Amino acid sequence: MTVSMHKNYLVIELCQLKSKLLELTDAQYFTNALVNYHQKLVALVEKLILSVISLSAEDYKRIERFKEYISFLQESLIYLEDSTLNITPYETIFCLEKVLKDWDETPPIIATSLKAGNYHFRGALSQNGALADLIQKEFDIEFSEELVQIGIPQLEVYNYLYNIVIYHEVGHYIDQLYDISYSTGNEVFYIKEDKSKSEEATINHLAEHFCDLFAAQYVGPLISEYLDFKAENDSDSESHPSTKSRIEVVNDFLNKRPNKIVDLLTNAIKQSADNRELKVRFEVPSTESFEEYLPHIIKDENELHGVYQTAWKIWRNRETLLAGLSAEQSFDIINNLTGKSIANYMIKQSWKS
Amino acid sequence: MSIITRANLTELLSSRRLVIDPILDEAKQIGELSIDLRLGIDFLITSYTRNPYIDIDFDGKRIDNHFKKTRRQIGDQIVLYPHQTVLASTLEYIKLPSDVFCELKTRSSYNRLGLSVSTIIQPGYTGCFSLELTNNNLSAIKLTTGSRIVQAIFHRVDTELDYLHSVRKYLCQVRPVVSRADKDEELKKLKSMRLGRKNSYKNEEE
Repeated sequence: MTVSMHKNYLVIELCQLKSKLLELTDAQYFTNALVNYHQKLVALVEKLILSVISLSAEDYKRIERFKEYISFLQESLIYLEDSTLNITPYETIFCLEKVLKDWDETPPIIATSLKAGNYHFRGALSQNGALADLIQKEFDIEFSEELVQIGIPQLEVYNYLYNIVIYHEVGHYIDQLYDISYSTGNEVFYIKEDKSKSEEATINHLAEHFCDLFAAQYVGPLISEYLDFKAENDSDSESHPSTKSRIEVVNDFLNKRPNKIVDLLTNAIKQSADNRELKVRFEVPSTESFEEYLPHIIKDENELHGVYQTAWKIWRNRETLLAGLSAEQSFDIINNLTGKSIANYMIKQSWKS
Repeated sequence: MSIITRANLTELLSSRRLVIDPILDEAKQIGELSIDLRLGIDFLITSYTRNPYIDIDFDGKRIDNHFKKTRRQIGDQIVLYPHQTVLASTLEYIKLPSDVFCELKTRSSYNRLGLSVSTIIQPGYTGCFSLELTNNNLSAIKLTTGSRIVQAIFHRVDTELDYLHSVRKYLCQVRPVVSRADKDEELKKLKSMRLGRKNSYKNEEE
């Protein structure tokens, strides 16, 4: 296809993107950071249209680059469009912002998607880190902060007891940010010459173990319990290690038992993630407040992440601790109290600042 | 029955017989005869639907369909259009002592705008208080979440009541809940009485 024919398609796609972005101009985003990000996208699409129109027949090599820019715009647009929702789970986002601050010097902007599907946490730029630099060089527009999207199934938007799953998904983002499983997998496969699995499987398995450990730092054994529920009998596959081994790795980490995978990933994190470490980052509040039908007064970030374990503890023992209530009532009460405990901590922090 | 004044309210709060969380500004919120409460962040807004009216009948159409959920962050604003009813809740989670009931009224400044709330909350209630806001003004009103919109006046009663262990439609609520008027058991009986009459007229005609 000639450059001129490519231009016809590229201009259509960019005009469509511009039109949709302009439609969102007056949207009520839940943070100013999203408003600023949106403005940068509008500026980028306008500059891209002018650049594409001015492409000459010799500019064939630049076509692929423009396609990458368009993909980035399309991905960002989906994230922003979903963030004009008016039922945003602020409590969940607040917890994840705290997690990201532990691991990222320039934490990303969080957008939310509440469509059907699985939990996910992914970045618009993290698939191609060099893209932001290219955009800055070519168009003088700085995307200094990553835009990430948390995907929560619509049905679970206020199900705080299931928030534990998102901690694992954030692990994938951090893994990509520091290249942990990829570099460790290569080392295992080539340097240590452990060829018991394919190179891809080695990397994938390490990625899943990392994310499980990442989540376990904040939500403790709840992550292995959830794995046991979702994939109890899953054996090794190309994409995932067996559930049995995943649970073993998490339990060894939490119980400070020696484990080769934990050691491997601990070292990799120290090297790649600026000396950060895998460690327990939660403290489990007592169930006393919940038993009195009151939100727990969270004292610090460790309790913020630990409150999920309090909620699960009382849910497991609901027949004695919340005697006389139906399962449905007990769930509503525990879930409401969990959300309100987090919300009150969030409101107090915001008021103080 | 007597109104509980500031010194006793403070004592109830210290002993945690009365729980209000969060109290963001004690000096401004706790008055001589009442405690100011703030507008929460969750709302249910009435909206037009395909159903022409809200049907309060046993097995009637769902009331939820006439309301839309929306949330704000503290400090954000929400517009109430003239004659629109919006269900909100207090920012504070409250647990009342079993011998204290609470009278909830709009603060004078908000009454003057044409907004009114007047509710009684039973002794032992636990959860965020529900605020049924209707804008009686001809102009739309933009409210700020987290602002002190209502005042709670506390009254002591002569008997302790067991709120938690009796059958309750609203328990530990943290966001507004649509009316459950259609869940009143006696509506079933009333419906059967109505249908019974219709059938007997029909039989007489035949």
